[in-house]
Amino acid sequence: MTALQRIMHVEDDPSIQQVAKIALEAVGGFTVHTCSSGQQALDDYQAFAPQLILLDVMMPGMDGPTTLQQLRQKFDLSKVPAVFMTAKVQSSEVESYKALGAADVVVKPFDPMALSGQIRRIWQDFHQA
Amino acid sequence: MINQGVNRTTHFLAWLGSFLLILLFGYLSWQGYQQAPSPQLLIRWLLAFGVSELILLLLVREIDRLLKRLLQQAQQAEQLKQQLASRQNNNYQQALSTLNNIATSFDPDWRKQLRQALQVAADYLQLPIAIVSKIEHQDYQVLVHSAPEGLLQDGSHFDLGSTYCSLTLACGTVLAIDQMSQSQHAQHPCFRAFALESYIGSAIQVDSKPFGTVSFSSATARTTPFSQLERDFVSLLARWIGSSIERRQYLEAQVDAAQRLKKIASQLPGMVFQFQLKPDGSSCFPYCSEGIRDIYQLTPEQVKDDASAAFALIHPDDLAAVQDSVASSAASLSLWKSDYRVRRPDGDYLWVTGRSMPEQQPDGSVLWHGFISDLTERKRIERLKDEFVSTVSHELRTPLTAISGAIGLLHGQVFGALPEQARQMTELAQANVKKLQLLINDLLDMDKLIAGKMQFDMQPQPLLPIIQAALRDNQSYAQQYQVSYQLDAEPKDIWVRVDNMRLQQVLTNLLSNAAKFSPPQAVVKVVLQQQETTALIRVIDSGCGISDDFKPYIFSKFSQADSSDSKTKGGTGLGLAISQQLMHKMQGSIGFHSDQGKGSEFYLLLPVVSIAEHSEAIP
Repeated sequence: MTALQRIMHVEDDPSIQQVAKIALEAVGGFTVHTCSSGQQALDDYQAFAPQLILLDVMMPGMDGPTTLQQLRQKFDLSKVPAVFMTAKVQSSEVESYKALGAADVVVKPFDPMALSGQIRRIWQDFHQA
Repeated sequence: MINQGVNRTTHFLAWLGSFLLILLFGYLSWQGYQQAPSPQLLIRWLLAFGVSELILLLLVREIDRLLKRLLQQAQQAEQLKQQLASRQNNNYQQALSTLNNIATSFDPDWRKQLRQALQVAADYLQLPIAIVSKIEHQDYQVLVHSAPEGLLQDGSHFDLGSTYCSLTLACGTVLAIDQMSQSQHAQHPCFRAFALESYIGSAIQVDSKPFGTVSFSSATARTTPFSQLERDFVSLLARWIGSSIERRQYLEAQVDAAQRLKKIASQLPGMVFQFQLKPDGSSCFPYCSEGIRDIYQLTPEQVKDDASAAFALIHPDDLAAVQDSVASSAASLSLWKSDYRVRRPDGDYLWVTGRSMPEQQPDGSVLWHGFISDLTERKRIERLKDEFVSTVSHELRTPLTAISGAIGLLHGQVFGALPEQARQMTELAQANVKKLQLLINDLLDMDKLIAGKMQFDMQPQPLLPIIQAALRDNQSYAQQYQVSYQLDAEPKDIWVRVDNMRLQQVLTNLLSNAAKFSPPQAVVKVVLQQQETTALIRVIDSGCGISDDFKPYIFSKFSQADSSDSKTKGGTGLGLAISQQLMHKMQGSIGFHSDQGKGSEFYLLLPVVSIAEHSEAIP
């Protein structure tokens, strides 16, 4: 299992983009590429070649699940876990996101100090499974 | 008969006289013949007898004729008297029967009816001026009159002292004066002013209180004095007028009340009604305000005898519930309350809310009094409000995520160590962001519950672990208030069918409330019991309790006992409302009892799942 370094974060809200970037880079030591829309994610995917994708579910235009679906159509994501970020979810909803191909779900609002640990755990679980 | 008697007497007198004359003349002639027997003497006596007999017979006949004439005269006089009496009686009977007809006929114009009665009575009494007066203190008002044209007017006022009626009121019974100028009242101001010679009048009582008088008068004196019959007649008339005014006042009061109700009801939004359910199952609206046009687009007449036209307009999905609620209200004689939809002519539906109170009737029917009002606008506003809350909550969440993250990073000293005071501030900010998150979560839960969008993952599972987990999660919260939990679970293996997370949410709400409202060092008892097929979870605190005023609102949205409490204790006022909804969705229920000052107990009831059911779930 290679170490996790490159994370692509797809999120439309600039404030959350910033917070997540700092939380992951400053606290977790990852490299984060932020995309403001699903379209940008599609455009930037190849150049950045992320190891993990963190996707906001609710976005104007193309939402998280659709973005993931399009990415899957264009690229091989078999080794790239996708993680959805969404507000307070019910267990049944988590299952439905997983059915869409998500490795896991991160609940918003997230604890910036704990986010990196959480992402690392998901990365490990993904590679052990 | 009498004639025959007279005949017999005169015949007897004639025979007796003749016999005595024969004896007298026989004796006299016999004595004369003894002294000087001569046939001439006998002839003289015979002649004298003949003349005497003739005179006697003539005399007797004259007496007979005289007697007969006297008798005839007496008879005629008697007949005349009888005729007069019977005529009077006839008049009296006729007057009474006419009055009776007037009394029983219904004329909405009561003045006209009284005037007719006065005319009949005036004709009978042969006194042209008839007045019914109303007397208050010294004011004499002509209420209704019957008199020759131009003499009087209804509604005119006189000073009581200037009328004969002052005498009538004083005497207390019927006052009758045949000729005023010859009476003791000749100096009365009324006589001097109006020169009314004859008068008969009586006081009128209404509701056993003096009301006024009825009087008849004429400028000419009576040729015959007032008879007892006439006095009785006036007395009877006064009583009849009194009772007809009484009845009139009663009717007017009823009409007034009906008018008042109609005017008030017309200003009310919605409809006010009486609804009657008869023993045979049929129903009607005996009274209904015009507002029924706004609710059902029907008229009060259309449902007066049969309510089915109104029921036919109720939304098919709501009809059974409305009918059930009516039936159960009738059975328990308890308040009927229902919200339902009514079809409008354009096919749209109107939301209405009704409430009314039933009463058992002697005929076995049940009669409700109540109102139904249009709820459509309120429902629309409620929906707008729900949408607003939902939108705002969603929109709040994004900036809150950013704020929470930013503060979290600051507080986590990612950008270097913070001075102590700055650290305190970030901690404070973090705690408040957490509160704000809880509030928004509550709002969104409520929104989901209202919209029916909340999904439940109902699984048969043991109850005790859920309670234990909830206690564990709330332990640190309770410690803030120096309160501890104590679990007392009698049966260890109760299974229920619930959504684990949702039940924990409810338990967390009850446990945190109990801790929040308990005094320091208190113990909150959590008891798990089984009652037949129901699991009972009790959360018992020894806190301040719930006031009686607040009890009815405890499960209402945004309800908190008072604002000062909410400031010291925190919370959204949504917790119990959400808990109630959650329990309801899980086929359970929530309740409480509380003594103010002694503490409260909240309990949850859930149907127990049988072993057969949960053993199915295990594989």
